[in-house]
Amino acid sequence: MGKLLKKEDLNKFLYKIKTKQELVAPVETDAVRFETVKFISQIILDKIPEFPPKKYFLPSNDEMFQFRGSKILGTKKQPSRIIFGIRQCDVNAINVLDKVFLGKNPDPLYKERREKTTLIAIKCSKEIEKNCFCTSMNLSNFADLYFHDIGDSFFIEVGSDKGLKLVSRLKDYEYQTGPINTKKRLFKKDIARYYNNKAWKDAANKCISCGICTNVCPTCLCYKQKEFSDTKTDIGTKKRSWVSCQHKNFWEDTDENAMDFDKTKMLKHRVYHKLSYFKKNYRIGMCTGCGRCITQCPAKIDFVKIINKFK
Amino acid sequence: MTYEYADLKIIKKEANGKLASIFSLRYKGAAHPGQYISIWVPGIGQETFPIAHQDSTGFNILVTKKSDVSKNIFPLKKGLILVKGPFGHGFPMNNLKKTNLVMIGQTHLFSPLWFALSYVKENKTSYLKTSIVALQTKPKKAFIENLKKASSDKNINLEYTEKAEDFKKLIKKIKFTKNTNVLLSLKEEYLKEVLSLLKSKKVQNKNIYFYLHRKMNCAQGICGSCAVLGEKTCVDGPVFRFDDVLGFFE
Ligand code: SF4
Ligand code: SF4
Ligand code: FES
Repeated sequence: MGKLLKKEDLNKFLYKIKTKQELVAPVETDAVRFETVKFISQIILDKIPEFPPKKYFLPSNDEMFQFRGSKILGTKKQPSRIIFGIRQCDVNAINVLDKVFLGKNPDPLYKERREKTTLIAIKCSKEIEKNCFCTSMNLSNFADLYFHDIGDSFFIEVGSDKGLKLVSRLKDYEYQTGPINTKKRLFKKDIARYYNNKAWKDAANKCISCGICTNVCPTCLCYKQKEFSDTKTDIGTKKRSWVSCQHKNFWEDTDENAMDFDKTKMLKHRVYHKLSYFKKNYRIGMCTGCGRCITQCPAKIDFVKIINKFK
Repeated sequence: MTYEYADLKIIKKEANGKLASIFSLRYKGAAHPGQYISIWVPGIGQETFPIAHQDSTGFNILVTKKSDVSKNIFPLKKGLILVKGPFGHGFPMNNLKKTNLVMIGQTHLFSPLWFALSYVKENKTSYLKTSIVALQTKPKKAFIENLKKASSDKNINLEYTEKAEDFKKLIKKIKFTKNTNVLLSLKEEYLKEVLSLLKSKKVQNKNIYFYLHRKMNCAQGICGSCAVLGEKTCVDGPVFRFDDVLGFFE
């Protein structure tokens, strides 16, 4: 069972949300990215956001807590917000982050952000990017609400009580939803067999170690912690910021004696982590097939093509 | 697990007092050889240290003045610092019972073996012979004195040298039987060499355990900074059995 919302009523629905809490949605600035919505008219739904909403759970430069001497003074309170217009790949990416940050040692900051966020997803239909391959990635419906475009209305699948609260007044509706159809596919292969294949080296030779691939990836989560002190107030701040495994210093930082990491090993580390290593520990793949790392790579490195060609 | 306050005391200093010290850490928690703790010096950062010894009052760790954190532990002396742990998979000491042990390590990275050695001494009747081969890197004095003391037993044989070449010779001299397990704690460049040396001596990969000295950050398997081929040193290690992670050294 789901709900029905007429397209002409969408703005009213979002406006109501916006009056109560922060509304985040894809907005066109220098690129299409998730931002706080000032005016509903800014929201862009016919393009795939170039950046994922990861920053709302794991900001690129994140203040973890403050301390004076050895005393922890506490963390900043996190706002509650609704993220609207998030796609299936990015919703599943949050599921991946949850596995890590809400696992054995839940991260309090991440936990608070997740609890205070409602996810309203929208199903991709016509506007699929040429590099998306989410249909190959066993994704699940994970959002609080899931909007399907059915012509002049949206059919809304309800995924949680949190979601239901937002749409409880809408008309009940039944609708059989269909799958997303991406042109690009990642063929299922035992990639461990191809670890030493020359294709990795050929691709890595083109890599300029810019780190864009990890930056735009909705599931890349590696970070470094640093401390900053304010000598005037005697208050210290512990921060964490993103780091990229495609940067050499990521490996040099791990140990002065670390095994030499070259670009081929770095590229393989990224791809094998996404497709195989993570699965071993968490039973789901880390890549959600958003295709951003392929679309935005200046060297046009496409790991899907590489893998598909393996015989 | 959050950080807790612990007392810190220098119990042994390198002769010039500048390079390294063995600290005793009054901190509760039962540890196992090969595990590590995370120390946070507020305002500076956090770092992990392998546990070198445990008694009823707490742990010993060997600190060399290398990183910002370790440099700042020195002036703290008796001060309070924050500690969490012990963490990680250590040496499977129980499964190694009734076997001969060979421990190969470098002085500044010897802590995990040192702990394993005290464990062997405490459970003397459970193990056969133990041979130790140590390469003396800095710190030399504080370490060797303690190692000699720790290996004063008729079933334990200690050999050490300052020269890398002699170090290999000492390893070659050892008789490895089918019933020998090897525990390693070395810099990765030496680790690779010693592993191929062990291969030439026909030691099976399943009988080799090594402590991987990677810098750790969160120590909780989250931040990704200690990952090697998908294994996170902080939670899947820091001790690995060689046949589980053959790819590490390809
Ligand atoms: S985006 Fe492309 S060029 Fe840049 S680091 Fe990633 S793979 Fe290399
Ligand atoms: S690895 Fe590439 S395709 Fe997969 S989720 Fe990350 S950015 Fe998207
Ligand atoms: S230190 Fe963070 S994952 Fe291991």
